[in-house]
Amino acid sequence: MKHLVVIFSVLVVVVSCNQFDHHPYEVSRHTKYNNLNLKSIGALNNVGKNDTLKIALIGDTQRFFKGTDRVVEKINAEKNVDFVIHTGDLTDFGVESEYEMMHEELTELDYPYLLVVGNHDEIGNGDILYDKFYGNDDFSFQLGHTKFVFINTNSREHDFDNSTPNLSWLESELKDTATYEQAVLVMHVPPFNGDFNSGKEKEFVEIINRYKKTLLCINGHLHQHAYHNPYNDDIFYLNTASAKEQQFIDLRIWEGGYKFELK
Amino acid sequence: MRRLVLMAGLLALASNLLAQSDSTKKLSWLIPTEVRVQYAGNIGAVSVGPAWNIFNENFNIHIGIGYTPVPKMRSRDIFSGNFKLTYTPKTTIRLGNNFDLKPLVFGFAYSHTYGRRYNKYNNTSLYEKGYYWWDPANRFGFYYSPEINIETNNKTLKAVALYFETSIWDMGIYTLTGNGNRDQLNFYDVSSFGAGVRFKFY
Repeated sequence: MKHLVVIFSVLVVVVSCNQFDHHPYEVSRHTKYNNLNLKSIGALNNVGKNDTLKIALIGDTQRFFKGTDRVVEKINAEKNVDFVIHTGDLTDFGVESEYEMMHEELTELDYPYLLVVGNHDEIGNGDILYDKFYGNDDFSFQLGHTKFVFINTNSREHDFDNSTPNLSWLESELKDTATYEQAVLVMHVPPFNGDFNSGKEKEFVEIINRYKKTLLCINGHLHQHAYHNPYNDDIFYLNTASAKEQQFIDLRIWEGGYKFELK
Repeated sequence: MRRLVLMAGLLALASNLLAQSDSTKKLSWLIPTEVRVQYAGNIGAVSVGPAWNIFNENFNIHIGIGYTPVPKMRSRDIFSGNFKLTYTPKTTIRLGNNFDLKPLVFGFAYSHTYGRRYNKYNNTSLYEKGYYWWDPANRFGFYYSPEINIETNNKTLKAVALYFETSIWDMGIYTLTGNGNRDQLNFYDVSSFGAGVRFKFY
């Protein structure tokens, strides 16, 4: 009987470690973390209209824990970063344990980070996990002179059913031009990629050009850094490298302009 | 899910036939030698199913249905079909008059998750082959599950075994061994625990 008591005690200790995974695609009733984007926005320091924002851009950390660790070290070596933008694909498999582990890796950052949802983050029940961990797929906030608009562009993960990207939401964010000076769009899949709904591509580009206040588009998904304007308009797309490359983009934004450097 | 129901129906039919006729004794191997109930371990919050000894008592195969509730209206509860091949060497540590510890129990596990959410990636009109390099619906894993075996005096239920399982699955193996991650992660980060009961009839 003593043996059973010892074994039972060991089991109780183990259970308290919360390692009893039910299923790869489980969604815990109470996830370990929640509303992370909202909490990061709340942690941002105030920025004046004449200040220059300093933002570190990373993306596609999916299963690159070592690479992410190196990038975090590089960003922490920088001074006065306002915040970090992650351009999606936090995870590879879109499962809860991976959401937890990669977020915990990113909590090593000295600065708040914001995540836009990537296609890998929506695999299985990943779309539900993203909502639980980070909040709404589509969201925006203003910091000083710039409005940041994060939008889900993972059309393939939504069966190209015309729900994604949500263009009516995007237009509602951009059309009231009196409320902001300039806008920066953040997405995972860029509109010129095959995973973006081609039936929505033209309208998407028209909307972000229509109000003449879009400064820049930032995206991930392509796993390598690039900077180009594929539609020969005024709006450039800044692609982040994957964490495998152990690189981040040092982006500075001021009213009416920006510059960046790959580090 | 339909396949599982069909399988259960065939098993029930086979058991019924075996009970009715001596001429079907040749099919007696279809009668399960145990029933297993497991909590967690990456095959479902609860998994239940029969098992059979094959060759001898050292080798055992198990099939089960796993159920995992999902607390959100956007997804349905998760059903999975599970298969386990267990190897139990004869090594036994006697703990008392009628119970002992089997410290070395190992196995291979496979789990398939039912539902479009997990299988749509095989729809080639949506995803070209290999779009995702792994198959989200199918998982493979290895486990170690020492057990305490309690013998009964019952003629039908010969023994009840309580086991504690530590498993590692393909996703965990990929995560731990790929991309130089071993500096950041360890076995504990990617392994899973489960616990269960084996009701043995043999």
